[in-house]
Amino acid sequence: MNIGLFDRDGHLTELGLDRLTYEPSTVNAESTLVADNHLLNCNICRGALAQLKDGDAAMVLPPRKATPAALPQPAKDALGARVLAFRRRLPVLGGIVALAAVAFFAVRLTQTTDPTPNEWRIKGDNAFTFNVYIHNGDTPVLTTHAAFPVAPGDRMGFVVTADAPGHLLILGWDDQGHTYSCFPQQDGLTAGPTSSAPIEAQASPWTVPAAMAFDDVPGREHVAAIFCPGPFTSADVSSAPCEGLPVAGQACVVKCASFDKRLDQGPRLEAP
Amino acid sequence: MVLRRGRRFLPPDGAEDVLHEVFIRVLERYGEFRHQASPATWLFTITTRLCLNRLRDSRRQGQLLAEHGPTAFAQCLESNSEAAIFLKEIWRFVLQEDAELAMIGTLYHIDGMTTADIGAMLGVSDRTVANRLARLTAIISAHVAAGSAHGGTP
Repeated sequence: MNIGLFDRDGHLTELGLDRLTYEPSTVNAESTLVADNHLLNCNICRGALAQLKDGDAAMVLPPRKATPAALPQPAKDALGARVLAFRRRLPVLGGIVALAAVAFFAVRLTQTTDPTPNEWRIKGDNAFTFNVYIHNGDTPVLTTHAAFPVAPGDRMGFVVTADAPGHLLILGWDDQGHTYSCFPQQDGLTAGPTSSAPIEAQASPWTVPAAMAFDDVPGREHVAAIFCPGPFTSADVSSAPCEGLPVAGQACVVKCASFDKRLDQGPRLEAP
Repeated sequence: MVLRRGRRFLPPDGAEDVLHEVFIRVLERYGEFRHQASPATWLFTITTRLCLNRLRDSRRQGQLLAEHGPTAFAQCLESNSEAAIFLKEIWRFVLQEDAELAMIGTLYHIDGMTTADIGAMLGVSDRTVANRLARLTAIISAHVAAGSAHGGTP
């Protein structure tokens, strides 16, 4: 049974948002991409999604304090008898337990020994993923980080996943040396470096609430997503973030993409 | 998700009751779940049905609909007059007369789902949904005509 994500007006349904949020594995990649792109451009659906997440956050209960259980006397007696019986077997079990404990700690030590113990690490090769998608008036295209032809007016959006919470800054720059912040986006009147934005762990692809439109400056456009354990600003980012450590003093992950801008195609989308 | 859906139809205490009912129903009927739909779709359908049943059976039904329903669907009331008439005037009547029609009307007018999606969700054909909606539209039209004949708001 295949139920769509959109209503008759082209907005995401309540069920569609639920499925994208709670069971993304049941939604195919193409539908997810279309939905992500819609969310990028639709305030109504973005508001509904924010409301959904706020509602869920409000429902999270604080952890309950553990309280000692009050056992009735017969139960205490029975438990006491079982504890005594267990203690009598301890000398026999002791050797086995000691061996198991030694083996356990040996394995743990082998796994956790690290030459840089203070390094911030997240598990797996895909601890932080970054994808750019381009909307050029047709179907949104998810790029593969290879050089990708774009035209002035095309918009790019970003989808990330992260296995741990951290701080994200997405920077863009062109061949003319003009640098700009894609996320978080800064008010045009605000001077100074852009600060990274804290993000939660994102197990399923999360559409970054920011999009950029390509201008008509000739040359290539580059974009770098920098994900660090602690806060930082664009001023902390090295001049070549895609090479080596993007932020000194932090174990950051950086993902980069470049786009070939084709000026001969002219704007394909109306200005946002 | 279940609680949020319940709150669209019912006041908070009623929504919490429905939350419990939904999961009791899930435990009872898990064997019937054929994995043709996603779990969220299944929960969504059960929750909607139980909310409508509760509205139908409640002795405070009129009050619930008057106080809670229209405010919960305020967006729908503003955006679509047929949906507004269905919700304000027809819902109560249809709920009593034909629970399945009320379910289809709710999914169509309130949730804005397509006939194909409603059919897939309820396990009936697209055509059946269209026919049921045509009947609902006839009821709404008759209601509007009756209101006009009396010279007032239906």
